[in-house]
Amino acid sequence: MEVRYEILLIIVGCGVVTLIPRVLPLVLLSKFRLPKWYMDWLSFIPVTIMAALVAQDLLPKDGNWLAALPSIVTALITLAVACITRSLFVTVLCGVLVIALINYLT
Amino acid sequence: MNTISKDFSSDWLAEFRAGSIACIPTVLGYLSIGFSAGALARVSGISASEVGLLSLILYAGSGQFIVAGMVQAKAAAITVWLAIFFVNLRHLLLAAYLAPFFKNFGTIKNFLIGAQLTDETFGVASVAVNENEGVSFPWMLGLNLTAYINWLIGNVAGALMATLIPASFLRSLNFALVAMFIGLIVLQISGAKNKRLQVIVAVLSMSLVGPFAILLGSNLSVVLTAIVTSFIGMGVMQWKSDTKSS
Repeated sequence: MEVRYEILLIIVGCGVVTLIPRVLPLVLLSKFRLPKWYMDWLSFIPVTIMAALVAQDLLPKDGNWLAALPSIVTALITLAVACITRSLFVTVLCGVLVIALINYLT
Repeated sequence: MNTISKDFSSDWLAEFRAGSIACIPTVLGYLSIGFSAGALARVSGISASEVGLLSLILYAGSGQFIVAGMVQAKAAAITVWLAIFFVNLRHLLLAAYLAPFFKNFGTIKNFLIGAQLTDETFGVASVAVNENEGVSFPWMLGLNLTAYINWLIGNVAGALMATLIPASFLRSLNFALVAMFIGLIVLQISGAKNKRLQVIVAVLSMSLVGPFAILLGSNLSVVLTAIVTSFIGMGVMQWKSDTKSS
């Protein structure tokens, strides 16, 4: 249960370099009135960043599409469930159950 | 005076509770990813108490996986910091998106909200601020603290039980994160005024993140993909309103 000095140093440094981009825009930008083009640009950020994160998770890193197929199929089913139910909780539950089923069967 | 302060505090608690409840769909993701992150860190040679500190101080899923890998590879502290800085640079965009909704909160409250910003809580908050045209500070605090506690529990449990849970089961559980982002994208788009454009931009973003990763490495590709595709969306919006007015 020890905490080593060099590991602590790494952890605290990582915390600091993460805290800066987390906090800076909230502290600074909330003080200004922002131009319309910027707000229009911002309105796409949630969808583009989450879509990029999903794609990065799903697409094969080594070109092995066969290995990525179960996740991609499950993602499509999950997308359908999300569109129909509009419930985050049901979507997450279905996604996990479907991938568990596929992993179990294959 | 008494009744006013009582009303205020019950209001505050109700908002805090509502924020915690909004966090519930993320709990499965936090616990399972947290569990994997904790387990991986433990087998990479990070002690359970160090894992606890890591989850409290860094508090970032992808970042913690990278720390574990780099510690195992005996990387120098400064290279770990640099890697984490680039991986977590995307928080700039998340925080920038939320900032206009929290204009009246003041510096300290904005600092507290930002310090606990993650992809998952951002997803939940961005849908909520669109639906309700903003959320209150105690609502954000309820959301953030619930996520933070679940992350800590997941991490420490993973570190303590690293060898007990079969890897295949964990892999299935980890899909909770992808499923949650898919659900959040659908909710975000269905609440937007320009649904079709949002869908097009989302597809564009998904197809560009791979090529960008080849060009720039996967650390920066998410940030850059989001910046570029949002610019394209913004350009189309401006062009459409120009042709309409002329």
